[in-house]
This record gives sequence, C-alpha cells and structure tokens, in this order.
Amino acid sequence: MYKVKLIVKLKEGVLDPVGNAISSACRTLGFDNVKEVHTGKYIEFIIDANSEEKVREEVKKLAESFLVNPIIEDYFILEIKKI
Amino acid sequence: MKAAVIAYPGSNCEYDTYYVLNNVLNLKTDLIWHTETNLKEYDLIVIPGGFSFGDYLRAGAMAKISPASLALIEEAYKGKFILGICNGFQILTELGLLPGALIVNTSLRFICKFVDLEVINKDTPFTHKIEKDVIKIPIAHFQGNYFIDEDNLKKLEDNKQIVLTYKENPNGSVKDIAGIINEKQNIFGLMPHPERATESILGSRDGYYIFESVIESIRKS
Repeated sequence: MYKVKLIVKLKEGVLDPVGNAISSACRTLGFDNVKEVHTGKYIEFIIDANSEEKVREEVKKLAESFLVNPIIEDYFILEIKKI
Repeated sequence: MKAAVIAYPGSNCEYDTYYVLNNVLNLKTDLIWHTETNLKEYDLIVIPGGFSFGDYLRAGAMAKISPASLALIEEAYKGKFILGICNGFQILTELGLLPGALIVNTSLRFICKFVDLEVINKDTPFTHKIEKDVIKIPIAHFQGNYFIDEDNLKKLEDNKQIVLTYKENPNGSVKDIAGIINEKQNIFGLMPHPERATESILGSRDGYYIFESVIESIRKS
C-alpha cells in the first residue's frame, strides 16, 4: 500500500481570484513581505499496488481522466510513501 | 421531433428547462436521469443549470463521467443539437465538446441578475431567430469566468464561434464571452439562462428565440 499526496494548481497565466483575495488580505493585515499568493487543491490517496512505478501510472491516469483540467491546471505528486 | 433534458444529482434548472421546451415551445420533451445510457431517439439534448455533484472538484468535473454524458458525446459526434446552459456549459467544456474552461468569478461572488448580451453571431442554428442586437437574459453563477488561451481564442474569433458577449463583463471572462458554439455549429454553451426569459411575465422573452431557433433548425435538418 502507498500513500500519495497530489497537488493540483492553476497554470501560470490563469487568473486565481482566491489567491488574489488572500494576497490583498495579507496586505491589509500588514504582511508586506507577501508578494504573491497562489492557491490549489491537495488530494491524498491510499493506493494498493506492488510498486511505486505502478502507483505513479495509476495517479497519472486518475489525474488525466478527471482530477485535473489541463486547460487551466497543472499537477504534481508531492510525496509517495509506502505504508 | 423530441428533446431530452439531462438531470444530474444537483441540477436545479431541469424542470424550468423541461417546462419551457414542453409547454412554452410545445416540443415533446423527456426529463432524463444521468444514469441513462441511450440518447439515440432525441433530436435535441439539453444540459440544464445547477450544481451537478455539488460542483465538487470543478464545476462539471464529476458530471462528465456520468453514463448520460458519455451517451451525449456519441450523439454530439453524429451532429445532434446539444445545448448547455450554465452548469451545462461548464459540463460541455469539461467533456471537451467546447473549448476553454469556466473558472471562479473575479469578484469571488455568486452573481444573479439580468444582463445585457450582445448577439455577435446570428448566423447559427441557435440564434438565427433573434432579431435584436442586444438581448436581456439573467445570469446566476459563481464559476462563469470563461478562460481560453490566446491561440484557441484566435481560432474562436476566426471561426465566428463567439456567439454572445456581455455588454458589461460581470465575471472576468476573456473578451466578455458569455456563449460559444463549436465549429460544426451543433453544440452551443452559454452561462446566461435563456429558460428564465421565455415569457413576458418573467421580465424578458429574449431567451425564447434561442429555443425557437434550434427547434426550427431541427425541422430543417
């Protein structure tokens, strides 16, 4: 069994209204060092597979079939851990 | 001649759309549950507004794997007329039947109000009965901000696929886009709700002509 952590984020150039709202809240609160904020999604899976390679294949298929919309989003695997 | 309105869990405009087609336009219409696998008998398939599967993941992302969506793709490729309203438009982009994607409104607010729309292309099966240059139809959405990259935007413009634009952009859409059609002109998606503007008692009848246009197009085809 593997635990997989997947990050889905908006592609560069795609408007991120949530990120912008957080960014302006940071300024309001005086966190002037915060220059940019980007938001995304975090998805965690427990996958039954024999190898890490198989897990990666499975996650890629999942992402490309419906978890990620390639027109507006990118994704990457943050961590794969054998459990 | 027969139409289908597909309801997903979380759709909420399916009865309005059914009523408009069946009672206002007098087109025999069936309300179809999203588990249906066969849509062969229908000349027009409408995906209504709402929040299919709670808009989880992305608006329309879960609905695209419903059996009825897969059946709809089959009919779409045969050239059947497909209309996606609001959530229906989002589902059509998720299915890849229309280009681009719909993201959260720049204001981060759900917007529900009448808007003025410019009819950019009246030479389509869904708009040829519209006489006015500007029509009044309500919008009701949180994720109506149309996004498309520059290359594909150019294609839309070159092929006259942009059908409706907002006079005053409410949501951040690229080029004020409110509704687009595919290249073959049998699939039309729009964020505004024409079914909410088909009788004068509702404040506008401008939406009526979209349904009237497509019904006449079916008759001719």
